Amino acid sequence: MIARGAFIQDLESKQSCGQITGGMDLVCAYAGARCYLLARTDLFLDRHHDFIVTSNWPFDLVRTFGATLVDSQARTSEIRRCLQTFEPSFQDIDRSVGLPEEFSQRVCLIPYNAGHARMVLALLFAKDAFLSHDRLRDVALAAAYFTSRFPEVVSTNDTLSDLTDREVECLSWIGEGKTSDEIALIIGISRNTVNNYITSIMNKTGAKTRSEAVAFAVRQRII
Amino acid sequence: MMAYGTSHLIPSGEDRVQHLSHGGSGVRAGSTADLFPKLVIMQRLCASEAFAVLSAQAQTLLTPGRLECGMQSPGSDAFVDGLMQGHAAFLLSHLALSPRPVIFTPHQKQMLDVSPALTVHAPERQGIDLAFPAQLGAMGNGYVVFFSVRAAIDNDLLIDMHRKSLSVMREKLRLGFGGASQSDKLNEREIECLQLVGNGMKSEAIGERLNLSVHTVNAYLGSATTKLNAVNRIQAIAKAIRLGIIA
Repeated sequence: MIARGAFIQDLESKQSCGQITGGMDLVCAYAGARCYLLARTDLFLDRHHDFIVTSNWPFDLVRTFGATLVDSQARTSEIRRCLQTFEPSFQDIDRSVGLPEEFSQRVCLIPYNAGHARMVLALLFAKDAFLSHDRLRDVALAAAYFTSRFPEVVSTNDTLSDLTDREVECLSWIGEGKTSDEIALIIGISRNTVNNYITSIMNKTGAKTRSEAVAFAVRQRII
Repeated sequence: MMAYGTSHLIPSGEDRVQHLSHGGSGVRAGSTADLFPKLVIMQRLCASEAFAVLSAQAQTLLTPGRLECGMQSPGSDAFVDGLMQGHAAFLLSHLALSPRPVIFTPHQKQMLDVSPALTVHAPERQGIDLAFPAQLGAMGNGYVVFFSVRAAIDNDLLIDMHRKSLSVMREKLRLGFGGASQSDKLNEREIECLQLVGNGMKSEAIGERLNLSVHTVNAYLGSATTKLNAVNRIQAIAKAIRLGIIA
């Protein structure tokens, strides 16, 4: 059994080689898990982004169950999610999704944040594995430290940086319940210009309505 | 041995929370003063002189970022003020970028060879300060800070303290949330409609999905808007997401 201090130290030195999988293998070993799946839950809400960061789960299982799992994480209410961050929880997988016999049905879900990025680490265990809750809590933080060093993993998504300052400004006011006319008055541009900005926001975020665009922006903490 | 004034342990009226409708764990009473003993244990663990819990408000275009002191040990004012003056902006930006603990040290040399912690050279500080970031999500973010730490710092201590800090911040959020919960006033249908609007559906489509007439859907959205004290349904969506009523 590797000690906590040594585990953290090993993980720190792993990131120098720039491979995320190496660190995840260490995490698995420390937690006593067989397989890992690391996903971004905030990207998942934004339609078909590549939300799975890295995984060594059996491929079919990622396809059949991975999305459901991340979806259930992404769709809980905000306050609940905040209260569960960095706290390991367990969920049972139904055998019908094609879970190989040698794995335990209990999958451990560890939601964590690395800066603004919201992640979930899902661990699969062997059937008779011994689970240490204490170690899983260590893993939550260790995984956060580790992934924060990979900018390509935790960067805010492209849609955000695509929005111009003026567009974000308009969106902020819409979120405050202002109409196009009022926004035009507030920032001193014409109503048509405001509407143009809004059309452009909806194109960039892929939202069908203003409400959806605002919901997206609030979830992404742009406004 | 440090003395802790009892005045700090008496919760103010608004700190007291009767229940939390969203925590999922049923009725639990408590107040943020209950967190004090936990913080004192942590303070002893790292042999520090004082501690503070800082709440962060992330920056948006309409509101600047803000860091304010939510709880602190007696006699920690000078420590907190010094840290805020010199490093508030840094702490805010660090919180948005990284989950790593921060070590403020007046000394030139690196604290630890291989460590997840970030060492910041702060010549004006009296001793070594440890700041543990807690980025929970849309709310409850901030730091737990320990001032003038005398214990030997190693990775084991850091992760242990960080875990405890996170649990303090989660508990603080849980306790602080119950008071302002509008959600028990919103009924299930209102929440359902609001959620679907947030997902980009129009009233007509929602009516079809839920087997309701468009007018009924609009009525639910109207009453939800009123209950949330919003001017229109778009603001209601924004508020509902921030309050955690819808996802």
